[in-house]
Amino acid sequence: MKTVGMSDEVFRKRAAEEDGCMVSAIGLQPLFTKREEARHEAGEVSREPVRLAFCTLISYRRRALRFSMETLAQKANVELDELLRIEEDMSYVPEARTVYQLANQLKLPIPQLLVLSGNATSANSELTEAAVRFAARSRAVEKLNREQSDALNEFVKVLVEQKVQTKKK
Amino acid sequence: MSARRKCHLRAPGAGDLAEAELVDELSKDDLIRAHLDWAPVRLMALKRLHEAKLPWPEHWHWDWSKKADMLDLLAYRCMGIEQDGRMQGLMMLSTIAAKGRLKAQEGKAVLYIEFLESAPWNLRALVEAPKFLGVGIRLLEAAIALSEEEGFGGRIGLHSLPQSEDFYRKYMTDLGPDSSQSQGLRYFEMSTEQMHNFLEGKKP
Repeated sequence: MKTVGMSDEVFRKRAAEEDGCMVSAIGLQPLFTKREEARHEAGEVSREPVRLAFCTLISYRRRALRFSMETLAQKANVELDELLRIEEDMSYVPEARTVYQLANQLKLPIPQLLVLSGNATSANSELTEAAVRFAARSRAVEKLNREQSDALNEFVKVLVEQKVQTKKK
Repeated sequence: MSARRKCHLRAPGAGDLAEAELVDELSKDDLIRAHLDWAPVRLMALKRLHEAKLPWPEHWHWDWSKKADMLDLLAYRCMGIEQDGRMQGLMMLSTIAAKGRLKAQEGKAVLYIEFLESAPWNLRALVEAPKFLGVGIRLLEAAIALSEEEGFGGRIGLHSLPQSEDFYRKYMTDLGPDSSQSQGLRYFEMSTEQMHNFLEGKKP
């Protein structure tokens, strides 16, 4: 881990400031847990991990091919702000045309990408499971490390190998 | 694989600084062991507070062994500070970038702290003489270092329990109650500038 830190002198001062304080912090609903449990209890099949996998796949693949956001937007003829939404907003469902253009530029299979993006459905549970695994392994950092590259390559391999019978929504 | 880095904690009862280790990636077993170590001490302290009719800490029911399953997902990572074989503080981090909410860094990646707690024997609200001081400071410092490493510019964010708000208000910006948090807790964020001030001992 990077060594970013304070001197002993600063630490002594800060530690004295902490004396008598409580420091407990608690987070948002953990990913894939409470909201998922609620949906599960309601009998719904959640698409959240699949959507997260789609956002992350586009972002990782773009970076793996060394495209900047601007470059990919230009090549795929997609507005930059739409590409930003695609990579960052799990609730956003891009049009099939946009997915088609991105798939071409990123060299990803179109039917599978249509399923992940929410434009089509598929009964192929293996694809959904691979997407969930990929989403769980994803880390949003600037540069892909080896673990992320492995996760990406593994997922792209599953995408390419899966035969998907898509049904348009 | 986890790495260990030497650090110091302030030890009021034993001179000045005591050597400790920051463990940057804890396992499920580590969390279960920490829970088993902390729970009896916390229970005794709560008994004492109850008898003295003093308020309990808001996190009295936390059980880190129940948070251990979060480590099955790469989206979470847990760090701790160990001294003499005992965990002095724990912090669960989300490795998926959160979006900055401070105006100056809106939309920029922020490292989000899911849980942070100091061992019960380090809290003056639970024991008369805390064993170590500065555990929270060291954990914030570690979160900043990871934020830097991940390319998030040292930016960090968290939701504070009400009793801890005064502590975080010293170093971070209080963005008020957050309706998206299940308990409506206040959200705090540290900017890159505040991070430098925090590390350099300046006022935020």
